[in-house]
Amino acid sequence: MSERLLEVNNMKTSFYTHVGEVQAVRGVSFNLNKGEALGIVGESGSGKSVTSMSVMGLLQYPGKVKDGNIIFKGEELTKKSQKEMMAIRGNEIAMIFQDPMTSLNPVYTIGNQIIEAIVRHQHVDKKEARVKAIDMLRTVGIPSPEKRVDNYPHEFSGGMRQRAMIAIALSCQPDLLIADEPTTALDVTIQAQILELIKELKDKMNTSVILITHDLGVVADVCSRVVVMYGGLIMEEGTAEQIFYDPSHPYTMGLMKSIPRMDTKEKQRLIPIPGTPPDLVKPPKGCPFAPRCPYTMKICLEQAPEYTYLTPEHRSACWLLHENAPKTEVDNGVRKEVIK
Amino acid sequence: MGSYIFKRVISMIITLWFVITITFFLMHAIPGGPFTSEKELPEEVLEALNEKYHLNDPLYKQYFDYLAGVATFDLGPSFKRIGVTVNDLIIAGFPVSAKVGGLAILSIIVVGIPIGITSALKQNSLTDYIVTIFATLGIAVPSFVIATLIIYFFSSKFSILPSHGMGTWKHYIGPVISLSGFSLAFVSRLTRSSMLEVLQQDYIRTARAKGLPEFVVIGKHALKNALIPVITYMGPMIAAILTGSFVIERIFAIPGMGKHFVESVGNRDYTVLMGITIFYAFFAIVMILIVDIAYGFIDPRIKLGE
Repeated sequence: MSERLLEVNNMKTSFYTHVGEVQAVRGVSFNLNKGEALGIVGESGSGKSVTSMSVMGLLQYPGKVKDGNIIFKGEELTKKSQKEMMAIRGNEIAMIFQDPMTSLNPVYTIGNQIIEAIVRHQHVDKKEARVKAIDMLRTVGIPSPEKRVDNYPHEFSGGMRQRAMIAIALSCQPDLLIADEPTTALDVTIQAQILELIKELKDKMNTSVILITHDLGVVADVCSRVVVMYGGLIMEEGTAEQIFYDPSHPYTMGLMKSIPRMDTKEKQRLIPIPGTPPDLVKPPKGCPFAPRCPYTMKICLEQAPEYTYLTPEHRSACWLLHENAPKTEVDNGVRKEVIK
Repeated sequence: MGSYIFKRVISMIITLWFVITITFFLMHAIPGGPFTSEKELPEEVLEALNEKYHLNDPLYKQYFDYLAGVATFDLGPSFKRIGVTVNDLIIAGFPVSAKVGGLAILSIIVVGIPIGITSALKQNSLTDYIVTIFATLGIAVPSFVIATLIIYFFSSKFSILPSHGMGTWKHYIGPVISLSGFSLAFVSRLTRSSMLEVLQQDYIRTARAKGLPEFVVIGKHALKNALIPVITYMGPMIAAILTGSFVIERIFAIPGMGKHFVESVGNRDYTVLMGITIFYAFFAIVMILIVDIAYGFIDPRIKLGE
């Protein structure tokens, strides 16, 4: 049993805007062990990025974690002051973002931006930090880092900028790396390289990773466990095998059907999930996926489902899994359709 | 860099030539001359004066003589002030204008930019609203109205500030406030909106994610980016303020360039009018060049001369 690094319990995050309280995350629980990689998947607006920003303590006004616990290395993060969070951010929890084109400051050199992170958290002077920054750039695969360290972001390609972002994030050997859609803005070949790099560095530095993405292929590549989010809630959680080969929630199944597979026939159409995500100003009282679910029952609209544990690490919030649900045909039918 | 500046200097000379030519021919297109006055001058006197100042020469000759003069930094004699050259007037007037203008610019930078930053950081707070109201007033109310109000209240009613002339530090307060009013308001608005835009950028989030304290995030990462548009505005603004506002110098009776300029218009003192126009144009062009060079230092994405 490996060591527990992060535990999120019933976390609720809202944005208090003038149209009302946007309940972006409505009670999310998950945990992460040391050296483990967890994938958080879901479509836009499912609350996955807000979840990560909440853990980082980076929610900007009017966002706020209103309930729940975030326990990192045994310490409660929601109770920490801004100053205490600053010492953790970039040092113990680091983050890389979606768009490397805009995530680096255009008016400072790459070196400057790595060095400032190192100087901030480690007791080294600028000269030493520069040596470390060059090392870090070499580690992330930037050629001739001694020269490149003095380049500005616009002199780097997209892939190289994301490598530089990873260098900044890992410069202080964080325990947890949160990667928020790290490959979305990159083209496919560069995507594969960046994912390979994240995997490699994760093993080398024994860093835990939370990978947030809407790309199931990316998750399958990197993560051992997967959380599927929808409408600010976790719909299903399990190991990568369970989620990919034995999905139990209609939403997960829908996601699987909407991506191409190796055995998809040439003319075969992908099946999208019809409809749009719920309005989180007025979240539905039942299952958030019910309006788009092909198997909606009356109870789905009236009451949110509890989690059903299929195995100790595989849970799913769906009324179909309830013991009173019309198990036979729907359950088996859905599963077969997807697994086949 | 060297070749860039060389190219810019060449284009500056061409621009100045245009300014000189247009001013020269406009001046001479106006009927009457510097010696036209209500009281007729005796024919001989007028003839002698025209002869003395080469006003009888054909226009093209006058033009080339003037160009040759400007090329050797000689802007010619004043027609109305005997024995005084335009160079003398500029040498006497510019330091006075520049002193008032320098203080105005300083107050714009020291007050305007911090106000803009503060109201951006406290967006939609009471502070922000108050700043917005004053900034809008500053932009909307013309400088001569501000100047007149200052004289009316502080000089005439409460007698705490002198109303005209230069001397003690008190003399500078009125002119500096009226001269900087518009630009101060404008710069603070510009800084505010530019700062607000920059604060939304992803790299600010990156800086916060590194655990940097907020003053580094703002002072280092946001400010440098936010000041780029402000600097664009500051170039021509500095030129305009340093060379003196005609109106403000007139109201406060400051013996600066602006005052000479206004007087020369009334007197048809061609050479003074042209000289000051050329000096002003020259100064504006140089300031714009300086701003362009400064860009290269602030924003590495701008490469000069490529």
